[in-house]
Amino acid sequence: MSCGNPHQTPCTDVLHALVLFIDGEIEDQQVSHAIEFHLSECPPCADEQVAEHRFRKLLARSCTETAPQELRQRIASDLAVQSISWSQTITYTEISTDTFIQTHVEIRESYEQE
Amino acid sequence: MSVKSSLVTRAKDIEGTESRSEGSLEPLARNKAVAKSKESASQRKARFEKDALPFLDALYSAALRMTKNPEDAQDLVQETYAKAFNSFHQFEEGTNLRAWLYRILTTTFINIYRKNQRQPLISDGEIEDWQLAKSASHTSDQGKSAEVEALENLPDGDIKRAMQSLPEEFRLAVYLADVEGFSYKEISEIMDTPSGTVMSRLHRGRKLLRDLLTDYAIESGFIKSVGDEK
Repeated sequence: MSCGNPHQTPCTDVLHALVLFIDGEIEDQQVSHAIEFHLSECPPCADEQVAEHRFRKLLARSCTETAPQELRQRIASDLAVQSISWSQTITYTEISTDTFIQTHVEIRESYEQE
Repeated sequence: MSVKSSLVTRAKDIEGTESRSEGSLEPLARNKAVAKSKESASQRKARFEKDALPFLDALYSAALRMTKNPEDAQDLVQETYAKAFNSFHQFEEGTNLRAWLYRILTTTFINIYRKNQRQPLISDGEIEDWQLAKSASHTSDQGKSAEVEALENLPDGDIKRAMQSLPEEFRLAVYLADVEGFSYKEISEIMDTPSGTVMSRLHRGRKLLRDLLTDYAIESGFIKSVGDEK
């Protein structure tokens, strides 16, 4: 597929790299400039580029969904539970005489939603 | 009787604003968590809601492509958000939150849901080239964009059906690249595969998808059956 005119970069090279170019994966600026230039003067290759873009738009059109309200609510209530702040206080008291040791441990836990 | 009495009182405050449900933080992460715990629980929740919740629709769309049914997709996204919130204090601001969420989504899917699916997994090499070569016969003389234009007539249901019939790895790669616009590097991180594998999955997945859609378009009469044109 070529327009029949001679190009600095041949169509076969451009078509080979076109998908990488559209995916934004060509790091060498010289290469991407060469492709851009080629696309500006070669209608059949430019058409391939258009087709690639349109195909992606088509997929996005069909695969874009809206999350159900129920899911939003489920996540919201998960977040509410998960973000409860938890604190624990341990008080450890030891009273000892020569013959006697008494230990008192007090644990207080508190949960608060800030 | 001498009474010696000593009183030892030790009080220890343990404050935790982190989740109570999962204690699986790695030691390094735990240090970070302590440093970040200056952020109150409600502040973190607000930050999470502001930054992560806007991706809900997108993650749900991706989850539907993975699980193929709304119930599992909802469970998967709920689980993803729960996990993400649990480790949100480890997430460094300024890094790629969207890719991070997709990574959690994908990992969760692979770990939980895929095990339940009886669908045999096709490895990258198993799609034979003759299947890929099939499309050559579809090519018309009108140019590529005219072909895609014909595909645009297909209802969304057909496109989703075609997506769902792709092998899972191909489907995910194509979805992440073409719908979500992730880079190869991001996809390789999300799917935990080398970027060479990503490229081959993309190449094969895109080609298969186009072939399928072209078949649908021929069946629906949007594209004339080819072969007798030349």
